[in-house]
Amino acid sequence: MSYNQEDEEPFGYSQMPVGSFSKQLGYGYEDDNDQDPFPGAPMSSDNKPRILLMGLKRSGKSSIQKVVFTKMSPNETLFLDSTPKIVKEDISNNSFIQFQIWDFPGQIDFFDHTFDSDTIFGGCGALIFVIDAQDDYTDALIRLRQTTTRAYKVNPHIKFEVFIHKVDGLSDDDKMDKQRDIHQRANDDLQEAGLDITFSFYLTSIYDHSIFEAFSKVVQKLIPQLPTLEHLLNILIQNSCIEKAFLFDVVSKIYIATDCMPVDMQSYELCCDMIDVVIDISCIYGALEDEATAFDNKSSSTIKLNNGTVLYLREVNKCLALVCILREENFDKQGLIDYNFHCFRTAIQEVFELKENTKQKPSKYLNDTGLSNGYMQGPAT
Amino acid sequence: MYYCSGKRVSMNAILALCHFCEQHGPRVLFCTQPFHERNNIIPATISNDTESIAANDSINSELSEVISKSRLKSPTPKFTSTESVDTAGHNDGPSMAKDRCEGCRSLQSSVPGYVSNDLEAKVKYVSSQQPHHDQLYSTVRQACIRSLSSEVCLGREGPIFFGDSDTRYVLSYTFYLQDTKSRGGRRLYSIIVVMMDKIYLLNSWPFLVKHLQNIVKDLQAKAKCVYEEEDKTQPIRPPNVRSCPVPTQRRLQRSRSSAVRSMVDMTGDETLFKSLHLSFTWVLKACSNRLTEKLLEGPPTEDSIVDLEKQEEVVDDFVLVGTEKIADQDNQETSSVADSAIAIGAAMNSFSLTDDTYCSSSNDQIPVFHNLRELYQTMGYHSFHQLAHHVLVGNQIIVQTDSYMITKSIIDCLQVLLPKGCCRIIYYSETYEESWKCNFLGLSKFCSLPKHVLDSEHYALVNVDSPVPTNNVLELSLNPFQGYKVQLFTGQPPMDKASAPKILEKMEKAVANQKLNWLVVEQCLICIKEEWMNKVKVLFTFTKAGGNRSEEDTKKLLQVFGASGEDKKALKFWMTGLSSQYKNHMRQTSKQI
Repeated sequence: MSYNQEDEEPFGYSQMPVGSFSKQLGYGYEDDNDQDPFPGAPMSSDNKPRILLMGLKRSGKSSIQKVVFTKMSPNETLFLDSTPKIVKEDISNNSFIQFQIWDFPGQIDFFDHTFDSDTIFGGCGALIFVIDAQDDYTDALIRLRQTTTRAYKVNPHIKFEVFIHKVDGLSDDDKMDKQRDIHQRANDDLQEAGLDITFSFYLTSIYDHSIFEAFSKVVQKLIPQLPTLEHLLNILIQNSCIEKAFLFDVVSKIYIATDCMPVDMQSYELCCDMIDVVIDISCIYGALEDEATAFDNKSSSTIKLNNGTVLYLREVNKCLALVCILREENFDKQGLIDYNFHCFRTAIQEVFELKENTKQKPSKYLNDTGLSNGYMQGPAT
Repeated sequence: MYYCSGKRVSMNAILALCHFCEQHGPRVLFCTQPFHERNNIIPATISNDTESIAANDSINSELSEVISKSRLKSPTPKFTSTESVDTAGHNDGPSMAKDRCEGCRSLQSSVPGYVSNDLEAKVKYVSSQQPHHDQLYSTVRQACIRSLSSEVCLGREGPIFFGDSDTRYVLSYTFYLQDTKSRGGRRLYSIIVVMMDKIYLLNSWPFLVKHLQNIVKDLQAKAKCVYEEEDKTQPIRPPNVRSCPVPTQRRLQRSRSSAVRSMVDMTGDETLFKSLHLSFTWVLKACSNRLTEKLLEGPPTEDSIVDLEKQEEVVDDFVLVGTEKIADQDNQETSSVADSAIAIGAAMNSFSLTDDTYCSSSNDQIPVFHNLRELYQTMGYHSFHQLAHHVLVGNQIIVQTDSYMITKSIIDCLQVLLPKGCCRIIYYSETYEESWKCNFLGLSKFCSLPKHVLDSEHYALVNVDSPVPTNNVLELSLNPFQGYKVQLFTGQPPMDKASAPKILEKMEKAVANQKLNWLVVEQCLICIKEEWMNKVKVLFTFTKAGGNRSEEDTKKLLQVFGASGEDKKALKFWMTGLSSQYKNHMRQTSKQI
């Protein structure tokens, strides 16, 4: 089977030798792709979904990618040069979030016939379209419409996300106006084109946590186990009198799940900052000389704030951390909370194992049925 | 790899400079392509230098326009009258976007391009913004996109090779130019070489990379100058921006860095594209001169293999040949010039040196032998037969004449009789050279042969005496060698016809047949030689492979392939002319047995 061969191929930009022709890039005419009976099926090995960052030039795609995934300081992004090629970043530091970020150059039209759009959009999980809110967005909306129409044709399973970006310079009223306007016009376009797509809109900026939050929500849609995880978190907070609990990816500070309570931006920022504090402290004082990890299975931290709230952090696995916010008086029974956490961790590990087991089934089966991206079916709980 | 004499195939390549424009993405900026002339219809009015077409000469401008437009479509372009050429239309190449910003425009609309003429090779090098031919344009455009967008390793500069038979093969050299007004302080460029022939392109890699690198370094140095100058007044990265958490500064930055800029502006070089045209033209021309493709017409002859080996020798021993030349220039008085020019057929540099030296001193009136038949006619059958016999068995042939040109022509004529590997030639020497050094020796008239040579039997001396000057022009034109005395001296009594090798008989027949054109005779000789080379190979294998062989065995073998005892001497001599490739091959295989 051709899939098996492709499965063995090293995947990802970083592993390719300089100068080699990337097959995934889809330039030129590749014969084997033309014969692909299921163009919607992904080419990647473990159904790793892709998140495509698209949009007009200078809308901030590379900045988002750099700030969220490579920890670049937002001010530094001013000095990024334009991206000439599709830059791929592999995010595979834990078993729940495994995906690729593809950062597109805004100047090139990838729906041109010289590019193989099947390969580019076939295995794609989500398409983030970035609109510069500080600029005139008429052109951006035209491009958005073109992009969605064509991408939908290639792969109807793509989730479309629109980031109304660079809102840091706008007043709150302005933000709302722009969002409403963009929302209205984009949806009108969709209706006109007769497409059954729903956009999700986010107001983002790299200068605050909004970009992380938006990305969290995008990523969560790609996690098939999300309902299970949310359910587990709900049980945990109910039984431990916790106000809010986030399951964080420590490296990117994206939260991959939270309980059913509404997310308050401030509490999210607080949790992000706490992770930073913990990592920084343990980097300086905790890690032994030749140990690179600042976060391991003993990592845990409690921070008491003077307004009567407690932040409590526990390691779940090597990339995930649970961060909880609770009232100080409820933290009295820390033993109970720890026990509940222990149960929670065991449950999460079970979910992982289940995922591992399903992965061992021949993946081509999944491919052939078209339910390929993994996130289409979650394990029953 | 086999090379064989055949048609020369001209190189087809396009050199283009591409740019990743911040507004428009990958764009072809400037592109130089050669146009090979098929029939000589271009008026010779165009001088051999570069000219800015429109600026200098309106006729030329139209001409180039017509060339570039029609040449590719039909092999014989029709020249329209100058009025009918639409000069305004030249900008709108195939699928050319209307929006070209300063950054992705190389030539102003008043200058459609540049043309350089190589009158000798009949090639025109035309530079323009982009190829005008539709298909070429899409090929180059695609190569451009790939070179700047997919086959690029961010932050890395340097060469890369990609392509396939559909999209052509491309060598791309990516590089950055510093620019204060650009995002990130630099802009991405690439120079691409697009060719049909993968092997040719890869073989030219070292050459191309070296020279593209030079071009790039030059551009970067120019851009750096401008960059540093501007950075002093307007630093691209204000020192305090890192500590500034509020994005107020960003606005300023954003508006400032959106400026697009032409390459001329960035490098501060007004004549940038003109000199680029010259560089590109040179690279294209030198690259096509560097490697000559030859069509293979049948398996290579032993001669062509020997030629190839000698060529390689010369290339490998380049330093050696060079020092020899310098040495002989120093000692021109003391030792003979041609001494060092131990004339291995391929060391043409040395030849031309001696040629020039003697040509200038020689009289134009002196006739030369153009081919073997002329020599045959002049010498008469008997002498020629003797001489040819000596040549074939490898005796030293010494030529003494008044004129270097005659000497050279005689030797050149005679060497046709032998396989190339057997010819060791010294065209001119003041003193006698030993026979192990050369089997053809042009000797000064004033030098007498040493005694040991005169005593030996293995030499033949050709002596040409010039006639007493005569004014009879008419006679001269009928027979150029009227009055010349060509004499043959040998160290042994004339050999009888029966002892001559069989091959000589065949060769003589061909040479003597007046009805045959000389070209036919030449091919015929090659054919005969090749036939006998094969016999030589058999004999070589026979002697090397089986250890001791008795006289009887050898005789039997000779009988098998139709040679007799008389041929043995010639065959043995010819064995020395086998290519080392064949010899090595034989030695290795015979060892295995």
